[in-house]
Amino acid sequence: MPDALSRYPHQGIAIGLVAPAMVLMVVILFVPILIAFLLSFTSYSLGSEQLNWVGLDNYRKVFSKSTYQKMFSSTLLYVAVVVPVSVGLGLGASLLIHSLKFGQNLYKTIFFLPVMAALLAMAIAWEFALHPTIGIINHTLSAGCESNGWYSFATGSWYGNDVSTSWYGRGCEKGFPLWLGNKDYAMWTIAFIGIWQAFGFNMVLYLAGLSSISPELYHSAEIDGARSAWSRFRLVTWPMLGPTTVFVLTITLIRSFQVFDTVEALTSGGPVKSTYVMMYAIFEKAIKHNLVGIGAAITVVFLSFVMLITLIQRWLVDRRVHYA
Amino acid sequence: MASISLRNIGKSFGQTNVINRLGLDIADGEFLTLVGPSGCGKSTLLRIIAGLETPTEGDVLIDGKASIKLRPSERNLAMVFQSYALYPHLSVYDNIAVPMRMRQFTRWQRIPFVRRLVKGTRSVSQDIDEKVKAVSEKLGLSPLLNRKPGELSGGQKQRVALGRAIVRDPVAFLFDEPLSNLDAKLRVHMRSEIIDLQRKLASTFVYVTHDQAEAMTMSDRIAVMMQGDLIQVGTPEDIYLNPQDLRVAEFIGSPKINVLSAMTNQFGQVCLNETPVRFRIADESSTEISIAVRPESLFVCNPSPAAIPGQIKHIEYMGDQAYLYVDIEKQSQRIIIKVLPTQLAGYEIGSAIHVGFDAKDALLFDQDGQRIYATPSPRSVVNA
Ligand SMILES: Nc1ncnc2c1ncn2[C@@H]1O[C@H](COP(=O)(O)OP(=O)(O)O)[C@@H](O)[C@H]1O
Ligand SMILES: [Mg+2]
Repeated sequence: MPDALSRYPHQGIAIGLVAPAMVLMVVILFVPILIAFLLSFTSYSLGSEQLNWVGLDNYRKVFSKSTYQKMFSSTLLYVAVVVPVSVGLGLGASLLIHSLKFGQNLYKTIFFLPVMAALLAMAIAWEFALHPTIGIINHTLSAGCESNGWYSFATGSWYGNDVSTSWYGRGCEKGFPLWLGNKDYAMWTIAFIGIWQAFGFNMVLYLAGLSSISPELYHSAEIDGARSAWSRFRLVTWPMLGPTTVFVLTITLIRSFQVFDTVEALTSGGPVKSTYVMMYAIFEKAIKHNLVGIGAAITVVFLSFVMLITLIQRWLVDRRVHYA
Repeated sequence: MASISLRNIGKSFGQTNVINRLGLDIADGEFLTLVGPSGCGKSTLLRIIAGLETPTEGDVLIDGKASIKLRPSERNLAMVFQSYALYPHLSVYDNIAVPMRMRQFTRWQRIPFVRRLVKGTRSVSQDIDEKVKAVSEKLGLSPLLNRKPGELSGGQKQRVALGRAIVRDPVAFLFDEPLSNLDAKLRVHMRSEIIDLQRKLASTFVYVTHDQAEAMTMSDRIAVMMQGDLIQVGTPEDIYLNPQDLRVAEFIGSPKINVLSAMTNQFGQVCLNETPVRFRIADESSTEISIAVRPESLFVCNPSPAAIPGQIKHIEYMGDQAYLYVDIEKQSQRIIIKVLPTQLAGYEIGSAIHVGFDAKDALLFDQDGQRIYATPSPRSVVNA
C-alpha cells in the first residue's frame, strides 16, 4: 500500500521501529525453515564437502520405506490416543474441580505437577515404576493374584469367565508384560505417560475457560427449564467452552506430534521401531546418523502437519466458535 | 398469573445478613418494584423468589403454594437479567425458542439432527415455531431472527431477553435492573414498552431497580429496601407524599428532599436555628429532629422573623424549571428550591434571600429517622 504509507511523513521511523522484529523473525524462523526445506532435496551430511541434489528422493523414501511407515503409524497412534483422552480427561477433571466448594487449589496443584516437572526426570521415575521385575506396577499387579476377591473380580471368574482367557489371569500365570520392552505395549505405555503429562495442562486451560462463563447464563438456563446437569452442560458449558476446546485441541495435537523426550529416555524408538515417532526419527537420522537430508525431509513433513493443524484451527476460530 | 408471598424471608452469606426477615405480599397481576440503593439485597431477594438462591429462613408462596423446595424451572417464572444472559452461540430465534424446547421436547428431541428421528417432533416444532414467530413479531425482532447476540445493539438484546421471557406463559415475571445497561433515551422508551407489556399480559411483574424514577413511573406499588430491610411498601404517591422513614424520603424524589436539622424545646415547639416555627410535636422534651421539605414546597419569601435567611450559591436552569442551591446558616446541608424560570429575575449567585415553606408540606422525622407528626397541625406558614 504505497499510497497509505506515503501519507505518513514519518514512515522511515516506522519502518525503523518494525525492522528489528522483522529481522529477528526472518533470521530465527524463516531462514532455518528455508534451509531445512532446501536441505531436504539433498543428501547432505554434516562436515561433507559437497552438496548433492537428489530431488525428491528423500521424500520418496519417507513415504515408501517401511521404517517410515512405522514412524507415521506410531506417531498417529500416539496422537490418536493422547489427544482425545487427555482433552476428555482435562475437561472432566476441570468440571469436577470447578464444582468443588473447597480444595480446588489442592487438586489443581496435584494435577498440574506433571506439567511443571521436567519430563526427562519423570521418565526415569516411570522407567523404575514400569520395570518388569522390580517395578511397582508389575509388583502390585502380581500381588493382586494372591488376593482372592480381587483376583476373581479382575479375571471375571466371579461370573463364570474362564480365568485363562482373561488378560489378568494370563498375567498371573505367565507374568505381566514388559511394558516398554514389548512391541505391543510400548507405544501404549508411552501414550499413557503422555496423557498423564498433558491432561493437567488441558485441565488448567479448561478451568480458565470455565471461570470465564457468566453464572447468569447458568441461572437463565435453569429458569428456561434446563433441569439436568447434562442439559445445562449442553446448553451453556460446552458451547461456551468452544474457543477453549479449539485451543486445547490444537495445542495438544501439536505437542503430541512433537513427542520426543519420553521416547528417547525410555525406548529409543524400539522395540522393533514400535515407538519410532517423528521427532525421534528426525533426531536419529539427522543427529545420530548424520543423514541431514532425510532428517530435513521428515522435518518438512512434520512442519506441514503442524501448519495444517494451525490452519484448521484458524478456520474453526473464524467460522464456528467466535461469538463476540 | 399468580400472586407471590414472601414469608419471613431471611438470608445471610456466612456471617453477613443480607436480608433480615421480611414479608411481602404481591398481588396477582400487580406491577411491584423493589427499589433501593446498590447492595441493599434487591437482587438477592429476587433470586430467592426465582429459586436461584435458597433463603436461610422463611418461605416463598407462589399462588399460595409453598415453593421453597421447588427448582427454578418448576416454579414456572420468567426472569430478565441485567446482563440479558443471552446464549451467545445461539441465534435470536434459538434464544427465544430455548425455554419452549427445554419444556416441550423430550431428552432425545433436544439433540439437533436426532430430533428428526423421533416421532411427534414435527407438530411440537411447528407449535414452537409459531410461538417464536409471534413473539418476535410483537417485539419487532422479525428481521433479526438469524443474528447472534453479538451482532445486536443493547436495546435489541433487551428485546430478545424479553422475548425469551414471554414466549412461554410463566406465572410471573422477574426483572433485575433490566434497563440499567441502556442509554438514557432508550431507557425511557423501554420503560413504556415494559409497562405496555404488563398491561397486555396482565401478569405479575416483580421489577428490581436502583433508579427511583423507574420505580415511580412504572409501578402499581413500590417496596423500598435499605440494608436488607423492607422499610416501606406503598403506591408511588404514598411513598412520595408520606414516607415513613427519612431514608425513604431521601431516596425517592429528584432532586433530593431538603433535610433541615431542628430542635424541639420543652413545650414541644419545633425550633429551627433557635427560632420556634409554628408547629409542635406531642413529645414535650428537647430533642433533635429533622424537618424534610421537598424542593417544590420551598419558596422564596419576604424577610420576617420566622423566615429562614440564606444565600444563593448556585443556580441551575433547566428550561421549564430552575433550581436554586441555597446555603443556610447553621445547617450543614445545602438546600434546593425549585422555582419557575420566570421567578429567577433579580436573583444571582451571592444574593441573600429568605426561604419559607408551608407547615403542611413539612415532614418530621425523629433521631432514628422514624416519621413523627406535628400536633395540632395548624395551617400555617413558617414565615407567617
Ligand atoms: N454470593 C454472595 N456471597 C456473599 N455475599 C453476597 C453474595 N451475593 C450478594 N452478596 C452481598 O449481598 C449484598 C446484597 O447484594 P445484592 O442483592 O446483589 O444487592 P443489590 O442487587 O441490591 O445491589 C451485597 O452486599 C453483596 O456483597
Ligand atoms: Mg443487583
